[in-house]
Amino acid sequence: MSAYLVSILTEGSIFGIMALGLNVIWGWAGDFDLAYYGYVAIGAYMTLVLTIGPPVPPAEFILGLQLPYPVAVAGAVATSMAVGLVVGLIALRHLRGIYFSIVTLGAVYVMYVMAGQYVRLFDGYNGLSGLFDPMGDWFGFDYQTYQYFFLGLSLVCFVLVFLFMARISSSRFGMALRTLREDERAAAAFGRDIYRLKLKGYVLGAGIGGFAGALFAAYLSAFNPSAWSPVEVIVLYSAVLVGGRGNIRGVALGVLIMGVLVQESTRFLPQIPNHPQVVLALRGAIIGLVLVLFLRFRPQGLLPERRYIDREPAVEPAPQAT
Amino acid sequence: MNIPAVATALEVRGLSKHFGGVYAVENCSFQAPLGQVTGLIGPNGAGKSTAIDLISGFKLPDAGTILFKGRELEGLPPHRISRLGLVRTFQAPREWPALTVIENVVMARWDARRESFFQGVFGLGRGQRAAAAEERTRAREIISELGLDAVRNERAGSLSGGQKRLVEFARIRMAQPELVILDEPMGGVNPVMGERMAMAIEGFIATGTSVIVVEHNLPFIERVTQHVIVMAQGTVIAEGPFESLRSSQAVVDAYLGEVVSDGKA
Amino acid sequence: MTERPDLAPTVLVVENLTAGYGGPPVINGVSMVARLGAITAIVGPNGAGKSTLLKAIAGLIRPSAGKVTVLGRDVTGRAAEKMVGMGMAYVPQVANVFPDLTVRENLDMGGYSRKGGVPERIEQLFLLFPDLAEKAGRRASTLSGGQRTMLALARGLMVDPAVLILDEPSAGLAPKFQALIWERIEAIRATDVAVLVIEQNTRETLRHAQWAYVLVLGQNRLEGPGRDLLDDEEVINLYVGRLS
Repeated sequence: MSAYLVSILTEGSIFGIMALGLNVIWGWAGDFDLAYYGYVAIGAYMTLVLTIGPPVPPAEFILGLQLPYPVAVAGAVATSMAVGLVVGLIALRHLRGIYFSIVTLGAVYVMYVMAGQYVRLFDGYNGLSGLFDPMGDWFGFDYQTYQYFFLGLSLVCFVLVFLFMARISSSRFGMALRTLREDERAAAAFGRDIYRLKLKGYVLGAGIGGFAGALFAAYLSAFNPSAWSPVEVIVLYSAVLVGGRGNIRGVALGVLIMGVLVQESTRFLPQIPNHPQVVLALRGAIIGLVLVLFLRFRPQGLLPERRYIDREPAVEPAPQAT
Repeated sequence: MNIPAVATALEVRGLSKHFGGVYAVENCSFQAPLGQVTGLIGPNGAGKSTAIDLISGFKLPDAGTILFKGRELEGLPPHRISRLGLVRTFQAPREWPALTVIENVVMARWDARRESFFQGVFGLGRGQRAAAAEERTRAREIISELGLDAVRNERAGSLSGGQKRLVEFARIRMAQPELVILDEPMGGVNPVMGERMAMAIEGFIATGTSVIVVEHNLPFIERVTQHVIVMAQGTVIAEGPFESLRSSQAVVDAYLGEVVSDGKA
Repeated sequence: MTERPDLAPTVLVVENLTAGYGGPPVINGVSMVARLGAITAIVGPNGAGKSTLLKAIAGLIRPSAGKVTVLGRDVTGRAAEKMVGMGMAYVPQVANVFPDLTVRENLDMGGYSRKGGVPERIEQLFLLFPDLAEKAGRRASTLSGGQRTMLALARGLMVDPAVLILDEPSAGLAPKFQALIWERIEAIRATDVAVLVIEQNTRETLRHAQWAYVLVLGQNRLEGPGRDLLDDEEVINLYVGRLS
């Protein structure tokens, strides 16, 4: 397998996990959360500061504890969930729809600015680096083999998260989340604590985002604000939209399609001499066009949310006592 | 006004709510008898919907007491009141559109343990799975009883207005609350469904749920209620069986309005 | 429809109007007439379709059948903003003034489609509504409920309509203000505008109406001079459900 294919599949698996987490908040609970990528970023940053060594001046950042990778991942997920809890407590109390989205946008912007400007946190614009081949030394892999190992690890993680989501989806908890999306007042009239339930979904989503971020940090071996660009974010949200919000298979399909689109859409176009940026810009335009077309003609995505069909035979009504 | 020797499902005393300077509900008091269908009628702007919002926890009263099963409900959020056994519907049908009819009915019961995140992850234990299966069977029975079997697996959002109301009724039968408050159930429903709805309401009483129904459709009120409360200008102006209210001057005045000018036109 | 040759010329004619909001029609084959310098009222129990009828006449919803003519011109199904040019002004029940604009600015906005003479018209209306003249420079949000309704009425009159359609003008007002509004409506009638009104307070409305139509379940049921219908047993029965 070529190195290119390995890296595509690895990145695809990680994006798949990100998309599944976003699906919990946007697909099932129905809230258009703009802070989501922030949780991915927090997961990545925290993984790095927990695994790499202490800062060597002029670099500045917190922690630097050189913990084993799995421990760092746990710490990263916990931190994402904690930050998600804070944002959720504020944003989910009374706000819905566009107002909720604006508040989450504010939250993610705060996160972005702090990460990029508050140098003492994560070394500002330089970001963090140095997470090389985590767990590779346990098995003594060489560089080549490690790529395959990490691909396998990412795929396994994706499958585990996917199965986890499948379970949640068909559970009563998952259905309760969806009743909130469908009609909140009716859900409250039938005993659901809207605020608490939404919070649970939100923190769950944030945690999954943090987990994806932990893997992302290992994949990139680094993280800084340039890995936090609008294009990445838009591709993520597009994947969920195009694939089908609320349907985990759809989300996976969406990641596949958007991933392919991003990488391959302009592959076969000739480079225009003296204007190398045109092809890059064209790629962005194509993604944008796909997004607009789907929003206009197929907002439910390629694979809309499935119904659970009850196949048991009909029941004869019991004789009525009037 | 006391209803002799009948237990009450709900008692409201001195309920008040104002918005800006306007009193939507002012010193409203009434009792809904247990095991009966009580009507709540009155002209537009009488405060009926606000009163329901106050009772069910969707709005906070400025004053007054709401007594249900020996507890005071003022200040409790809607989900707590619902868990205590008081369920309400809304003026427009509020089914969960993307969920199927049977999912709508099954989700009518709130189950703290089975709905927890923990159970979501780890799945249900054997005892809970049995309870869940029994619940599904019960849901199917209710759906059959209300004549919704043909649309059991359809998304609730694709049904007609009358069918959506029946789904709401199925949910109520499933939840088996002690009291259900129906907010204009005949609104937007074809009059031919009236008898089906009336029978469904009788089904509630038969299964131990007391009913309060707000309606403008007075023949429907006459058909289903044993006791009627009339509201106007935010307060109760008359109570009694429907027949007696028709000849009440206060009720006629409320519906036809009072003369405010000095008559020179 | 009975011929009443002794009464003023018709301004608005509605023939067999049917309309709804998608689904079964709310009003079915309703006919009525509004005359110059007369108050015409539409009354009926809740759910009769009174508000729907007004909206179908005023172009806010599209009728599925029937005809509406103003001063002889067919205006059926025309968009609401075109109706103003045809001589019809509609005053809705809520959101009928711009709260952040002053009284004068509101009236100015009301006269937007006029070809000229806006300041003169405003002065004319200030004579008709002296309470508004006092508050000409105040923001509409500072007005009382009754004054706001008067501003909405005045704004509707800015375009010199042949027919003024009022959707529950005294809704939510204290009896004192209701009386005031009816006084103003009488004054408007005296300027030879045809007034079509629906109201929650049936008795008060019937006292002022030269002619009233009783609508039940979306159809014409009774009609006659307002004062006659006031004492009509059948009307009372319709309201309190003795007949269906």
